[in-house]
Amino acid sequence: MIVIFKQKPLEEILGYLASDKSVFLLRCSGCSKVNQVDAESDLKVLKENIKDKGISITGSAIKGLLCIKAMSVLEELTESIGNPSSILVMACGLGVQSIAEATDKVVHPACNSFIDKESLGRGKREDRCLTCGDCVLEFTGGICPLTVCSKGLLNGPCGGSSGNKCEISKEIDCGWIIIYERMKKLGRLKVLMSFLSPKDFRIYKKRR
Amino acid sequence: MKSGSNLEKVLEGGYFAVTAEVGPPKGALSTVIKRKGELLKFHCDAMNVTDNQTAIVRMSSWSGCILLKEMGIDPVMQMVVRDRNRIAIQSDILGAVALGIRNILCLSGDHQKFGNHPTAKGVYDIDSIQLIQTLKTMRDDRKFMCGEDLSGELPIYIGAVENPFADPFEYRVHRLAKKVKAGADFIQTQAVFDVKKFSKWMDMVRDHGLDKQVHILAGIIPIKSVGMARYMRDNVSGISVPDEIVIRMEEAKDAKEEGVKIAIEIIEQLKEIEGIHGIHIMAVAWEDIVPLIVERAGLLPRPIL
Repeated sequence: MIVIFKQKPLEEILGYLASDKSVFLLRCSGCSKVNQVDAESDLKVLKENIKDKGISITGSAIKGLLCIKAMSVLEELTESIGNPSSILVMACGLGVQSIAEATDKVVHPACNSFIDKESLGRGKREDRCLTCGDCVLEFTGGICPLTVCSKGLLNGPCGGSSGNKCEISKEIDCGWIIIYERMKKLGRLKVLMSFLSPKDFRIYKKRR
Repeated sequence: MKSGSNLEKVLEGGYFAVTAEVGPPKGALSTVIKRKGELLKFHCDAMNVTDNQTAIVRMSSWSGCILLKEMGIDPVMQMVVRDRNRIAIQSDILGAVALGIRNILCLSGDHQKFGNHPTAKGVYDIDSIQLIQTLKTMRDDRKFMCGEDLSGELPIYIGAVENPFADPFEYRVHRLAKKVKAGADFIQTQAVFDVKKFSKWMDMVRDHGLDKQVHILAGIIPIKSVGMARYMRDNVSGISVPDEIVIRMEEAKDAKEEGVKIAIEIIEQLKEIEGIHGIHIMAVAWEDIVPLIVERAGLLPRPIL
C-alpha cells in the first residue's frame, strides 16, 4: 500500500556484517506491490555478494508483512534460520523493528524506507497515528494534523498553503486543506473554528 | 496601555501606522542593523526584525531588536515556533521584555526545508495561535502555560500575521478570528499585490467585526526588478502577484521607478479600505527605498507620541 523500501548500498550492508561469521536473510514481500517486484532476484544477488565476502548464509526466506507477523514468521522459520551470527532483514523500518523485537539475535537492516509518492500527502501508514495518547481526530475530520501537516500544526493551515499544496513541495498536499475539505463535506466547518490547545507530549512516548 | 510601545500608541491613537522590516545579517556585524535603523528611523513607527526568515540562519531577532532599541527605535521582535519549544519560547519572552522589547510578532515560521539547514529537525511544539494565547496568558493572567505564576508584569503588545492569499481563501478569515480570540492586538499581513482579492478578504473581516477588535497593517513589498516580480509570482508560495504587475514591470523603462510607483499606488488603495490601520513594508534587500516610498505615499512626518 504505502511504504516502500530500497536496498542500501552494498558496501554499507557488508560493513554491518563485517564481524559476522554467518547470516540469515529475511526479505519482506511487503505491503506495496513495488516491494514485491524482483523480491527473489534481489535476494539472490544480495546472497551472492555476501557469500563472496566469505560470510556463510544459513538460509533465506521471503515472507509478507513482517511488521505485523514477525513473531509467527520467526516461529515458522526456527529450523531454517539455524544459529547465525545475525539476521539481515530486507524490509521497511517497521519490519526490521518488529523482527528485532521478536528475536534475541542481532538484526541488521538492509534497506532504507520511503513513502510511496502517490500517497505523500497523507504520510506513511505507521506515521498516520503517532499513538500520542491525546487524540484530536474528533475535531479534524478523522485526519490527524500531527502527521498530515508538515509542521504538525493543530490550528492550521499556515500561510504557506498555496493551490492546495504544502509550502515545502508542490508534490505534497497541504494536510490542513485535506482536513478542511473533509470537514466541509461533513458539514462540520463550525468545529474548525474552535481552538485546539497545545499537546501533552508526556503521553506521547516517542522512543528517541 | 498594554505595553506602552510606540506602535501601540500610534495604533491606539488612531494614526495610520507605518512599520518596516529589517533583515538581520548572516554574521555578527551590529553595523548592518544600525545602518538600517538610521536609514528608516524617521520613516516608520516600529521596525520588525525577522527571526531566521526562510529558515536561513541570521543574527537573532531579539539581539537585532536590542540594537534598534538602543537607537531609540521601537522594535518588533518576531518569534517563530519552528525553532523553540514552549520552555525556550517563554524564557526568551521574559528576556526580551527585560531588555525593553515590547512588541512581539507570532509566526509559524517557514519550514526548515527551505533554508540553509534543510537537515534540521523542526520543533513546532506549539503553533502560532497557541503562541498568541500563551503571550496573552503571560501578560494578562501572569501565568506560564503550565499554570504557574510568573513574577512581575509583562508589558507586551501582541502581533500576529495573516496571509489572505493562502488557501483555503474562505477559511482565512476564520483563522484570523481564532488569532484575535487568542489575543492578537495587531496583525501584519502578507504582501498585497492583488488589491481586489485583499479587499474581498477585508469585506469578510468586517462582516465578522474583526476590524473593530484588532489593528490590521497591510503588507507591502516594493518590487525592484522584473526578475523579482516573476520570481514572486512563480516561486513564492503564499504570495499572489497578478500578471498585470509583471507586465508593467516588463514594459517599464526604469524598473525600479515602476516598482516604487506600484508600491505607492497599492498603499493609496489600501488607505481607502475600511479597517486598514497601517502598512508594513518588507523591502527585502532594498531597505534604502523605504524612506522614498513613505514620503511619496504622503505618510510623513510620523507622529511623535
